[in-house]
Amino acid sequence: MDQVIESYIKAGKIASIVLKEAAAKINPSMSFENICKTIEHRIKELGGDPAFPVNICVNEIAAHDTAEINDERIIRDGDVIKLDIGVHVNGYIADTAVTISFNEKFSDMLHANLEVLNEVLQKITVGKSLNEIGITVYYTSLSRGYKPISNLSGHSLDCYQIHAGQSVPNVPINGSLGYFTAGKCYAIEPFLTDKNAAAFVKEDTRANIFSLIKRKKIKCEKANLLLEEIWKRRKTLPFAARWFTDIFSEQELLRVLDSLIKNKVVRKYSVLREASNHVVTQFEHTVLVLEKNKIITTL
Amino acid sequence: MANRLFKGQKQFKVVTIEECLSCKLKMKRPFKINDYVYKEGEVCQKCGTKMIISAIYKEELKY
Repeated sequence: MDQVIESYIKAGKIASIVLKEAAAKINPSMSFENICKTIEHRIKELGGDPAFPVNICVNEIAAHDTAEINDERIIRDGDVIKLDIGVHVNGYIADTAVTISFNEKFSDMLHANLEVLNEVLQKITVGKSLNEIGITVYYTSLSRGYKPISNLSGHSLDCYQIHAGQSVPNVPINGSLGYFTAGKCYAIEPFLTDKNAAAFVKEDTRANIFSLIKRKKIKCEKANLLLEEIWKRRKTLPFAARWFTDIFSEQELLRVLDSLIKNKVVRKYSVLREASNHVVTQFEHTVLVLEKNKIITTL
Repeated sequence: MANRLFKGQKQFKVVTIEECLSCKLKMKRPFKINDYVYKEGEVCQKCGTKMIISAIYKEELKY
């Protein structure tokens, strides 16, 4: 089998195992830090590497949240948790997510979200328009009494690239976004909220996930040291500040990271919150599209 | 890990307008598959007669 396909499949298998294990173990009173570290450690144990820091988003937080350095947050009874994990093998990525609810009120929304994802997965074939996925997600969600988050989308994946250029929308989009291409991998991730919500996300003031934009030195020796370390460990894949506390102290690390962001060497992924603070759910799978068939690598 | 759609990207939703021919009440709702103009719609909440679909169009989503 082609080495690329083999890597995609291995990454998907690891992601699937780890996510299922984590979803079974997660409980109220567990700390964010403990959950993230356990999952990331387990990914490495199985022979993969985290493609991005474990995203753990609670209730109205839709995406891009992970444990901060010395994070004291814990899961509470009644929370709706979205666990989004990424695994790479030789740079080839699997991206998958699940929602766990400790609140009965949202169990129908979870089921609806899963149904929407399954409906969309069935539709994917080589040559199919990406816009059609947006139409399917939108109308299937509405028919179940929920709304998809309009400005969050799935995406294509590439070697060491988590967002590889193409968007897979969750709503109808004006203008062609392209087509599913053979040999390419896509993360499909509908996000749902209730029908009274604004159904779009806004940036929060917090950001604890980052990635390298370019390997360009700046006029700060410590920043350049961190830059090289990021390149060595992560290339262009997203990372968390807590992964680099072995180089600098917390305060210094955040200061140096800030200077890299200001110099546009590093980008930050702001935490994304549902604009009307309504609870959001998410399910996600990675699909490898081939000439004659497709492989859902994270099943 | 979700991708945030870039700000310049236009997104739209399709809406259906139902109109009452006797009292002129108009009602806007999301488009449903099998909707078409002149199709019989819901009962008018104001006068009780059957409304008809008078328009179907796309609206830009603002965020």
